[in-house]
Amino acid sequence: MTDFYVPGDSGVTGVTIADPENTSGRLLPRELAPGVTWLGDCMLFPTPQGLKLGKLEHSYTAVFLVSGEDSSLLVDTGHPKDWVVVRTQLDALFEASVPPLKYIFPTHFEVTHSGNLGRLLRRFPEARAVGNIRDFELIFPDLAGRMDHKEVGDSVDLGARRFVFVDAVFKDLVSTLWGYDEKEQVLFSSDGLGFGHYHGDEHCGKFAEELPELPIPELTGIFLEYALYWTRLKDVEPHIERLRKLVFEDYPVRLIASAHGSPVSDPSTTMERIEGGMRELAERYAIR
Amino acid sequence: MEVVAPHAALPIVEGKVYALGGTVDHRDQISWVPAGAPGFAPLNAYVLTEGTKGLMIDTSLPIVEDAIVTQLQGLGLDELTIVLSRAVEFDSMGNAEVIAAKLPVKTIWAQMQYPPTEWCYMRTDAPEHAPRPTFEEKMYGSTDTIELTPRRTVSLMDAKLKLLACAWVFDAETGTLFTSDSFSHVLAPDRHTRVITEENDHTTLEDVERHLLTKFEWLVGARTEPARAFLDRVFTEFDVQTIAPLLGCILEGRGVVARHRALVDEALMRISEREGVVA
Repeated sequence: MTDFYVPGDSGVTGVTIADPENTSGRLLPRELAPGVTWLGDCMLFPTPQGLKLGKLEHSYTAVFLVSGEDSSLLVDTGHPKDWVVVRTQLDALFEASVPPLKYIFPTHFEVTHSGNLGRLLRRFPEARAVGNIRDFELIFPDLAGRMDHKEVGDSVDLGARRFVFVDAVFKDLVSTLWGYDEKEQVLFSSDGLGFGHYHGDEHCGKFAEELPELPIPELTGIFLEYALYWTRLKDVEPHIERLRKLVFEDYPVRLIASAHGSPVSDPSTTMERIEGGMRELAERYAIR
Repeated sequence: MEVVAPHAALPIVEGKVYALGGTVDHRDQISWVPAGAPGFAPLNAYVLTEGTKGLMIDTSLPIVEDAIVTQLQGLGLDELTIVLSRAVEFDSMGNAEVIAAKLPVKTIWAQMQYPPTEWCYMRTDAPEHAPRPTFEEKMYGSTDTIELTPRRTVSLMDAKLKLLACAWVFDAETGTLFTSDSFSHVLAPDRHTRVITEENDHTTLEDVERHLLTKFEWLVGARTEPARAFLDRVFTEFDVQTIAPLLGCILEGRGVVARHRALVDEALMRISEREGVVA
């Protein structure tokens, strides 16, 4: 049993959850595409909107392993609370002969995305941190010599597989980068395109397209309201336009792997639903 | 990066509130410091004291871990409460784990649904074998108060000039407003100076605007009226004598506080006007 404080003005101030461990950590890893594996867990996120429906939200705290012929790259490090889960998942993969971990790519300097970087670098002494590594010396000063700065457009070679660092369209911290796997055309969108799912509804560990009942627009709006404060204060259309250019022109995307949302296997259809949530939030705050 | 930190906590009001931490040479390697900006980056945490009881506001970044632990130990506290203004960011929670292990921490508070024990532990590879934390973890709402002693409480407020979920904290006893990652626009002029008074305040509107657009890049094209209204409300309601940010110099004295509040307000207004955003 775990007690959670509930924010907002719903009148609900707390909720007790009987089975807090019933999250995606028990179901993952899952292969999203050849050489792209989904790891990590969920974070329970009781929103007033969800509780009004009698439901408790989850938000993924996902990690992705991209493996070429020679080496692997980890996108994000997982939440500190998930360390044992992530470590166990990785150990099982490497014991099964997945190419060794050479790169760890924390998409940005936030606990949810980078909190396990020190643990990972110590556990995998051959690995190096890559990405926009400004600020990371402040957190892991003893590991500063194992960090390589990357800019938008830079890439690393995993062996017959190139991973590219791309501009983040939706972000919180300014140094955020997204990633792109050229081989399977997977976009790793960090905080972008995030939305929750519901506890007890067997939503965990599934693609968005496997959950036709999932109210993606509503859940997108809730996620943005709580996680990306600025989205209620500015016009979202230029960002949607940039996102569409990125996904449909610059980097052809077949799969979207968000740190916090269900993976998307049909971008052309599902992105419209996500964009609907962005627009609904903008309309609610009267900024379109 | 080279850390320079005093051995002892820096008194803001002797016996009542101290700044912890130090400065680092930013070398354009810190995302919230504008490129090429002269000076050194302050990294602060704070502790309010009543006798041997302490209430700490945030814990700063691991690069200043040793300094902060030493400074705290020098205060001779026998009971410590920690309030995390942004548990999701390292400058808030970065040293909580170490402080809880080395000092008599009784309670850690974090915002909303972020249980502190889930966010603070990131150092050991085998946390399942670590001793269970002995402190009590609590979560606060956006307008709660937290007690240091029955006669001294601090007020929390849901910040509107922010990036992520963030609380500002006000201590009426000393008139100190703890602004977390906001009001972090003044770099240290030298490695040892973290307090700005009327005598050494050379901040310009351009400095403030440049910092805001670096730290809070989202402000470009955004409505800034909610943030400005929030500032107006806070500085009207509270008699602020010192502004204490995590990442910039401490702004000391009513005159300096009034000037910097006006600078931030004007910078926010200019950002909106330049982009043609209707408030």
